[in-house]
Amino acid sequence: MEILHRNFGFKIVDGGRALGKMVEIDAREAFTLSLVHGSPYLINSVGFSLKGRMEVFIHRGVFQNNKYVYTPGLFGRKLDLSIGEGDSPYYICKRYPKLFKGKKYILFKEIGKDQLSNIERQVHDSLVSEECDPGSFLLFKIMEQESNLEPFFEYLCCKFFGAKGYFAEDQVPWFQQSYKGLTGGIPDVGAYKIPSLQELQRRDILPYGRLIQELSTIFIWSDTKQGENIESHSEVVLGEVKISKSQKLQALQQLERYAAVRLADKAYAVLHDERSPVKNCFGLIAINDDLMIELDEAKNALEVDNDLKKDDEVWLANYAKFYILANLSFEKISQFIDERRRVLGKSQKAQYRSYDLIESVVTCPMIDLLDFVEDKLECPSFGDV
Amino acid sequence: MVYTSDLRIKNLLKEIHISIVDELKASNLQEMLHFRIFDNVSEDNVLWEDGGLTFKDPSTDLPLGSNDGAWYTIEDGKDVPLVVIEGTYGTERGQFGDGQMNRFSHPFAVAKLGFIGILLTPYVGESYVKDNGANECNNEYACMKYAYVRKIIVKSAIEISKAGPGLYLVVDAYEPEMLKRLVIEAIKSRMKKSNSFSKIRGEIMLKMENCAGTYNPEKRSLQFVSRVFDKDGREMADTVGRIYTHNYEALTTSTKRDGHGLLGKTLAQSELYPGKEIYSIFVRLTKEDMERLRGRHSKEFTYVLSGSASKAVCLDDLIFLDKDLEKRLRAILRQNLHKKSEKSLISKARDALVNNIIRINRKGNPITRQVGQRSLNDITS
Repeated sequence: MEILHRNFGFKIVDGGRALGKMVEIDAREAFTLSLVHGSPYLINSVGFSLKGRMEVFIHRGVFQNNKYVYTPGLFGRKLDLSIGEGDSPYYICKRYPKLFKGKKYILFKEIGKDQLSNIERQVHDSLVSEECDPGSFLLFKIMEQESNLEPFFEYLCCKFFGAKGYFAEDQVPWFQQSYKGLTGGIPDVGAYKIPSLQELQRRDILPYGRLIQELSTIFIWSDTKQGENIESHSEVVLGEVKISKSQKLQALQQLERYAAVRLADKAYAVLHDERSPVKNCFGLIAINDDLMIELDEAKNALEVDNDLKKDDEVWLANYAKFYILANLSFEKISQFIDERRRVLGKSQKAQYRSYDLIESVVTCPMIDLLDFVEDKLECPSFGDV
Repeated sequence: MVYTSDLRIKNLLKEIHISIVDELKASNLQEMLHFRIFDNVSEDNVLWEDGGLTFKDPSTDLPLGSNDGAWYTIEDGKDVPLVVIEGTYGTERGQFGDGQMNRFSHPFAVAKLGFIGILLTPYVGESYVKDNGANECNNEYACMKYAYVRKIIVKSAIEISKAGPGLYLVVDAYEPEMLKRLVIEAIKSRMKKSNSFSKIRGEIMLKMENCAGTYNPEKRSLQFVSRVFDKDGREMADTVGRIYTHNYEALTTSTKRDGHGLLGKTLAQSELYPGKEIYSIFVRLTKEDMERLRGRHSKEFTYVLSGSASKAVCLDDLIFLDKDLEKRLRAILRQNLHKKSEKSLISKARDALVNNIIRINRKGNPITRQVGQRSLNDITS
């Protein structure tokens, strides 16, 4: 609670005897928290978490001959294999408009090591009996065994990098399997500077949040803040999170493998209780004695393969385009594919498949895509959002 | 981090549950149906009776793989499973073949215990790969191949369901309505209310039958051994075999998860030959490897090496009349078969097993009719 308060200014409020101390945030911050940490909104008895819903690619192009290795998630799939409504914020807003408005409260619940963690129903029902609206609460579980600390640190890192102008994420499309003989796994945090997103700033339609997935929330929460610059150079940052410095060696081993790809500009070990630098070429992200997130830069830069980086810049810009397109309804996305196929000299289809979507997006210049999206952008009228 | 495929399944199950509860209000059964689901895989691994989602196979009393969620009722203060789900989007994530077997064991024990076990997975998935896509998607941006749910999985599930006491159903993850109807009718049935449980079960089984078609493992598998011979060269009665090519490294490297798949394969295989004894013939494991595997006490190996589904034998348990073949098999013990598959050598080994050129160093229960011994050259020429 204190970490959230001190680092991001979140307000700690007293919920009385029944609820205890809580953190009050707005709907936009709640969205980010649920997306990365996984805290479920208690809109029903099993909870509704945003984590893992908005995936587009499983792998990064550099590991896959520069191919786009797609998965349903952000965009949906129907039984007949055609694309359809997915788990984009637009459709989540349609299903659960409450998530997108009003104040939200983070309810912290400790779970002992002998207790099972599926307490959503119990907490939901207790809120109902207290005559509280459960839909205004997010459940933050604190496990005695610390097993869920990793996503919390991922959340802190995403917020931290977001404030520095990066677009961050925790479900990083970087599945490094037998690449040049190295199997590195999946980094816990990725943060990117994507120069083509400067165009969003020029048009004053930057999203409020700085998760890459939040590029899909422009339809409802576009940022009116001025002065935040999207930089003109690209950058890839990776982070490996461990729940304590006792796992430093494992974190470093994984970072070594990611670094060997020669794509990341910077890489950090995220060890909240580590105080000394971890290694010359890797930085450290920790929580200091004042509970503030602290970043210690590496002494030496990582080696980067410029050809690889060039390819990855294109891949990242295209990756971002998918999230921008997801601000629209499925009907409008189909219209976009229709228009792109006209440009590409291809005939229209009654239904489109995922590969039609991929082709339409990756062949479309960012400016054209933004023209289309901006023109069609509308906040859905789903009741009283 | 949690894999997104697992998260997607759990998110889907939660939404189905909410929809089920809404619908059950009409028949006033919403309070009768309970739902167990966790964020953490570690809790899935806890036994059902201790509050988790893992079940023991009643024939061995050994735990099998964990599941993703379960609907249950409470009877005499005890949680009694109704429908238990294991889900995977493997067919959308590059699992074209044996990788799919990783999950087969998970709902197996549920069905054997008399409940409804479901494998929730896309019957057909678009799996994006780095090269050689299908005609409609093989360009500079993307290569997509279709991955189909393995017929051996569906066929074995059908056999398990036929044998009872429970059901093992394979439901398409893109037909959540089907799962929803099944759970609703199952709870009505358990609560002795009028229901259409048989109808929905029939619909799902029909879909499975259509998928499995005329699947015959004997024709499809390079590793199926239709008959085996004991140490005295006598054909063993009611016995078949299956060659496994996993080596020690493949079974003990966590990223490969081959142990998981191996368990699935041996279980699926055993269901296709009810009443027969099955030898799992590990041609790339030595006695020493087997001992080391036993010593690891993993759930999968404990089951494969000591479960009732099959008898496991290794290379050192085989008697080779063709010493050159033995030498060649010993030469590939540590080889990475993903790089060089050695299909023709494995095929030769299978023919040698079927034709009494390789024998199992065990005393078998012989059948009366015996076949003569042919040379390896006769068989393969």
